[in-house]
Amino acid sequence: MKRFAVRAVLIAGAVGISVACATAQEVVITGRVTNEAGLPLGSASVLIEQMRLGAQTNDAGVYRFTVPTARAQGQSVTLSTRLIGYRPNSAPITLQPGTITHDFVLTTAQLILQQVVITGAGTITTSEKLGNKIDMVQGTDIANSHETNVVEALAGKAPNIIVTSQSGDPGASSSIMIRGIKSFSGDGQPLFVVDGVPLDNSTINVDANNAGVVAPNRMSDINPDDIESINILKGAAAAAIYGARAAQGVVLITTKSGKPGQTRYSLRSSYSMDDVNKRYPLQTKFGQGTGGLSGACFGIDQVCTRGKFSYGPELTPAAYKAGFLSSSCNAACADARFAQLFPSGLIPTYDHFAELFEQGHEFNSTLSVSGGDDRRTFYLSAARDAHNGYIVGNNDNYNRSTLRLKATQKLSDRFQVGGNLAYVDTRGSFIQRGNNVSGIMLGSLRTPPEFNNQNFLDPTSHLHRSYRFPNPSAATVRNGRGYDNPFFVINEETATSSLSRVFGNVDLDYQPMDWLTFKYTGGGDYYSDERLEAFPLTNSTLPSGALNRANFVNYVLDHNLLAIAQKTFNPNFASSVTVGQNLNSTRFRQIYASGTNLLAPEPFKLSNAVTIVANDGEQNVHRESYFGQLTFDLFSQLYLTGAVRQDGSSAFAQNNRRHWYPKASAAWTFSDALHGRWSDKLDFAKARVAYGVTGKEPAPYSTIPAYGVNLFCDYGGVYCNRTVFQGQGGLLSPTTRPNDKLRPERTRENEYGLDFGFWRGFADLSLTYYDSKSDDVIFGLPLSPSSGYTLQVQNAATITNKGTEVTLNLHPLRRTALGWDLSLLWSRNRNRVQSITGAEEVVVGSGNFGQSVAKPGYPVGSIEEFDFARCRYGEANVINGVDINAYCTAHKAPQGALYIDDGSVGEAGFPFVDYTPRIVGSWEPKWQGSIRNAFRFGKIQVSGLLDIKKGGQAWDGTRGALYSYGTHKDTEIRGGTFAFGPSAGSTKGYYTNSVTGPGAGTAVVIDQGWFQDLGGAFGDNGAQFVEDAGYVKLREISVAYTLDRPFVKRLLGLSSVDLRVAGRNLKTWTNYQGIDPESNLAGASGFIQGFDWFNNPQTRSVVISIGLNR
Amino acid sequence: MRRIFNVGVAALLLAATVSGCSDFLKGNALTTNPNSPSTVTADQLFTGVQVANQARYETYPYQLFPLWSQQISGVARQWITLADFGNDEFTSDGAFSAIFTTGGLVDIRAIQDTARAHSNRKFLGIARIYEALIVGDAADIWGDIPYAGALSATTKAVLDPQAQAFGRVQQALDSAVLDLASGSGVGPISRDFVYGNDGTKYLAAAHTLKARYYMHTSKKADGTYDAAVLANAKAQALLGISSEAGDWMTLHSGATGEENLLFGFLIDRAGDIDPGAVLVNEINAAGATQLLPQYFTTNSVGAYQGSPPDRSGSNPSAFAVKIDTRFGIITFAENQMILAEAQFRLGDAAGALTTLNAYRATQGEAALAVAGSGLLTAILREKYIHLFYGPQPYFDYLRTCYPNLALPLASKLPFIPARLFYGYTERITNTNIPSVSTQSSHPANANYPKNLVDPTGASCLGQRNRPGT
Repeated sequence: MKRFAVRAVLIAGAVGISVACATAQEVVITGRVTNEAGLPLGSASVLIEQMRLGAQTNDAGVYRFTVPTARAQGQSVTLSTRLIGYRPNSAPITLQPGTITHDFVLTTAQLILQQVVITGAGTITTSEKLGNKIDMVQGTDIANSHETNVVEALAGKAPNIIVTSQSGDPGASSSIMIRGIKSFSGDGQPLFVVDGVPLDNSTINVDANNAGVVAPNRMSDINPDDIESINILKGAAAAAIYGARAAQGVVLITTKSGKPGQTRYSLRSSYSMDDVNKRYPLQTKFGQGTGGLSGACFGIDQVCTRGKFSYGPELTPAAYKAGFLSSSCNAACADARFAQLFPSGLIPTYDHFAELFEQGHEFNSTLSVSGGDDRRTFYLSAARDAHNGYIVGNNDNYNRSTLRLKATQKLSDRFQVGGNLAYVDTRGSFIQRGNNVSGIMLGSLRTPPEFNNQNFLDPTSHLHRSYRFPNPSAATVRNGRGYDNPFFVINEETATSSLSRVFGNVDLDYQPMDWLTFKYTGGGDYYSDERLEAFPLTNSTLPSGALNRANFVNYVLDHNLLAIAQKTFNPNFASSVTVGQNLNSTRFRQIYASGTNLLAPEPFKLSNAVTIVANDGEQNVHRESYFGQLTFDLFSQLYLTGAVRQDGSSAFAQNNRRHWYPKASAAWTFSDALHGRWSDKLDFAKARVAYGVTGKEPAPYSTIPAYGVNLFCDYGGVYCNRTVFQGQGGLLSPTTRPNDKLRPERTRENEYGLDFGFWRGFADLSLTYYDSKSDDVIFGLPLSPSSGYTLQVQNAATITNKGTEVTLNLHPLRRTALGWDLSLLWSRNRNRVQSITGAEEVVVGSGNFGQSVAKPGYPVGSIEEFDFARCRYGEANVINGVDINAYCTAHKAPQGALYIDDGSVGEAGFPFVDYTPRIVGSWEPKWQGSIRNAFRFGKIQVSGLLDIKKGGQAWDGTRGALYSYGTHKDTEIRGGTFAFGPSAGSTKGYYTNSVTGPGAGTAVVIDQGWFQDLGGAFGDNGAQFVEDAGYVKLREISVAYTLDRPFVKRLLGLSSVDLRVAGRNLKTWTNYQGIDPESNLAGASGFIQGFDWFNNPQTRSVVISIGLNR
Repeated sequence: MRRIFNVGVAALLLAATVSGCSDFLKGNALTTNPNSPSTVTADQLFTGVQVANQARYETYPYQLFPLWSQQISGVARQWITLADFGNDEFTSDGAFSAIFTTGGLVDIRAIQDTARAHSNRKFLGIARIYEALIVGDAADIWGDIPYAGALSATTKAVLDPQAQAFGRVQQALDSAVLDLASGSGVGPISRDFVYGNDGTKYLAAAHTLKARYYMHTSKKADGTYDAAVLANAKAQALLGISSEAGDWMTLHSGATGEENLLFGFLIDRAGDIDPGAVLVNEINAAGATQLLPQYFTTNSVGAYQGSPPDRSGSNPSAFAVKIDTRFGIITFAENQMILAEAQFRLGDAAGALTTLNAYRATQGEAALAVAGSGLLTAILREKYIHLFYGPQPYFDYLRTCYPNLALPLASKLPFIPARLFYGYTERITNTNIPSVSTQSSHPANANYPKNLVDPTGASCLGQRNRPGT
């Protein structure tokens, strides 16, 4: 790092030298930019491109900048202006001393062809020159989504991105997947770059990522109101400029800057109410118990050993009393027990889902002050977001405070410095969830309907009670309760995070000559995240109490130095050369300490624990990269770009650290070659083709052996024997064999596209096809355990992603007072594992129960489960000695028909399990789309966004588990007589699709035995819980009104007031039976989705916002 | 002039930046792993191997064996399914890997290599016993296993036929006996928490282990016993563990990280398993009621009550296991019952009864006067009740059909499985492993030909419907 500092000093020296060389004589260029109606246009760029001099217009549409006499030598130059949404305009001027005034009138052009596009690593171009697809999302669209997490705000905003929200908990993560997964490992998230500096977007869980509490993805530290625009570099050709870190694409965020002119003040506040978007179907007909007998217990400290399930008696007093009868309990005893449980004589029931939730509230406010003049700009914002979530009480909340200052200063006409500093403070309090005996959904949904969880403390002992341990005495202060009562979890358990983060950068922009520019960006990103999880005495995870403390520190330094030479040789030939260097140092450290067996109930401090186990770890990576890019602009219609990057990374072994990543693209605006033909219909037409290579490096230290202290745990995984035993330090060999020959993963992508504009801005259409191949995929290749290791990180798989993207924007109404914009996005991606060397398949992802695999011929993360025996023509299908296909053929049963046994293998009339694991689904959608409609009636704007995902499956394990527990609504049919297959006569069909087999049609009783075995999640058939997870979501709908009449200024002293009412996720249409089709238990910490195991629900919300502008 | 100066400064700047970083990608914590040691000693490995070994007997999936021998019952969640033989290749994946990987053969062989290099034959012999213990178990559980070709980085191991694997295990034990008897080497010294570095005890344990595997391989395909192998078993048992002081037990303290893992399981997964009704009945039948409070607590009416194999009975007892309860891995009880059974099968009924009663006397149990199948039953019962929670009763059941276990009510199979599926990871990575369907349609365990009858001549409920022999 020492050298890093030395370089900074050198650069600072150069700055000083440049300042000294500047001269002060000026030529002033000024004017006004208006639209066709004569209204002033603010924020338009006016510049002399070849001199890289210019300014932005203020609110009055006025621009002004100077050209020093030294550079103004009477030459002719082109003064041009551009503004998003308008056709660019230009005019020749001659640079003579004095003031040159030139006004522009811009006409509307909906397609943003000439828009400046940030292409990464400090390089920019305009849309028309792009040979690859870069999706742009405006800051206003981000802000108007009213999502506090910028990743979530991208949902439905660009084709072929899948944005998934973990749950509706405050502070829950959101993940984004661009053009399919390219790897078997990692979180599948793109690289995020904010103002030129890579920013960490980790999602760090203290516990397993399917348990514990939700954790934010760290990009949620950005205040969406601070965002000017987002460019999504989707393909390898676009992202190759980031080389080995760009395999999953790059999201470039540009934050707001100040603009010359009057200082602007803006206060934007919103208030949001959110609640769960779905009720969970639970039965209220049968009570606690098993086999129809009551499982409720009475005695002090009695464990309801028969009361785990809700397969007890019907919830009528007579049946309930009968459920107590046994050899040791006669009618009088049953009456007494009933009276003890239900003094009123009636059996109340509780909605164990609804009772957990209330309306959440979120208050969000951003105050910004910005301004500047022709030499300096500044933007200062302060924001606070306070979210009290939807779980009853105030213990689920997430608060974020942000401060940001961005400023630029021209030290001379050739030298500009800028700085950007953001500070973030987040504090969250979370509730246990997921695959966890303290998880609220698990504890609540498994509770019998007649047990009142809300009385979570015993009235006498004041200790935690649950349905499996309802009458605790003081003697049980260190006993678990089976599952924690969810209200105990909500009120007594603690999980908090507290994060402080600083990030920012210093920019230097130095133009020694008209054709040569140096750019330097030095950035840093530092955060410290302190977590605490506390499980009080009597919790079921660790009954003697426990706490986990973790501190995560991430520190990134990034240096980017760039030299750009560009020259227009003649109107038909221009070229640019860019060379650059990037150094990046990423250091992550964590300290984790758990204290178990609390001395006193509180405090939740390590000093209050009998046993303390602590560990720490770190991951450090240095990267050193060089890159060059060459562009040619030919005849103002053909644009060629070629680039190459060499990346070095310390994550590779010593002799293998540097790797090359090339890219090339061409864009041809062939409408210019039509020489005006069809000009009344075709505004423009562009063809583009691009090729690029991106990569992914392995996790650090994959090349080095690591002996470790191992844990050997019981089935529940809480009690573990350590190899530090009897005071002796035991170590064991790793299960992963080190590999010093690792190469980077490489994704090579070809992209082809056409862009059209029709009927003078009425419509524009963009079509893109891409075909990517990721080779040398790095993952833990399963080794034969008989070799002594179970894994080796290897380059051993190939994945392809092929896809199509269509964007159609229509602008049917474009009057001053009336507007209608319609935007349609459609995309599909076909992800396939092409090959895996050394294994038939690989288990991928985390946060599920190991049923997500990568297998050649299927998408990465396909769901593999056992299914029932079925007709499977064309496959080997002899199960338990039964030739299923022979039977199917003889009886002409259709493919997939369920084989019903006659009792020769299992029970007659039931199916049996085929113990050959099969791919039964995948979360990859068939296609995705979105429809955005925006209407404008004068000052009123109405807009809506529908987000559509067609196809893709999820594993609804929650439903399967609740079948086993007898609390799911579907289990109300228990005891009924059915036959597998369609209904026949008076016998109802249970499984209504095709069946065959010698037992087909046999009437069977569907009861507890079925639901707890073959028909439930704890049986062996997981395939029956794989469901279609497609959906249509009304993501956004809003009505906005801008009040800018003169009285606003007169009375309030404001230039305008924006009023807005919006709804978020108000409606979901889906066939998915689980909590939500886009639920994602593991959140953004893993790329595998479609796993539903007691996930917390999603929310819908209504937002009211007001913006005061001055 | 100024332009040239500016260009020069810029070029210098860039050059300085570029040239200054030749070591940017190297250095401490970048190219060395700051989190884990990259080298290890045999002593450290030995501590790890001991922990790994004892944990195996108390955790999943070894819990399947007491479940299937009905010493315990699966009464909730996965344990119902497992009790009904709803196991698959994932059930056995971790256990199959553990034979070879961390804590298994790879580390045991590393210890042996170091011991050999340091001429520490005592340590070598002990490490060989671990190898025999783990591989012998594997041959019992899976039948044909990769052994001779295991631990190769380049070739996939083929399956050694089960008989060959047992043969190699006996050879390893022979070598262990020679190593331990040589008096050479200092052993693992303070690292040994099983026998406190007592070579004599290891020597006895090696003999008991030899006796175990001779007994396991004494039954021929036609169902008769091989007298020579039984004689070997008897001879080894006579050299084996001679008192409970020589028992090889798991070790647990009250400290975190050193708990009895069944104790942990019963807290983590409270309500998933119950005491097995068969075990409670067998203890009562043996008149060994002193075991009941050792294993179980009384139910609400003060009685000991087990549950049927795959569902909760009425008012079942709970387990009495404590945080520091120790389970036997190789014990005096096993040794003596192997001896007694060998004596009985070799025609020395009197000797067998003497051995049985002598052992019972050490346990405070009354002497029995039994003969014929009643004597054999008494020996097998004694072994069944004293080897609680280990896998041996399941292997004995496969060999003898004792106890004559009824199938669980919701059994998914018409028989009790004779072995586990090979681990999923090995199957998908090693083409020498037969496909799942081949495995499931061949549920036999070659070493344990199925019994059509139990020792009393009654029909063997759990084996008679097993396909094949």
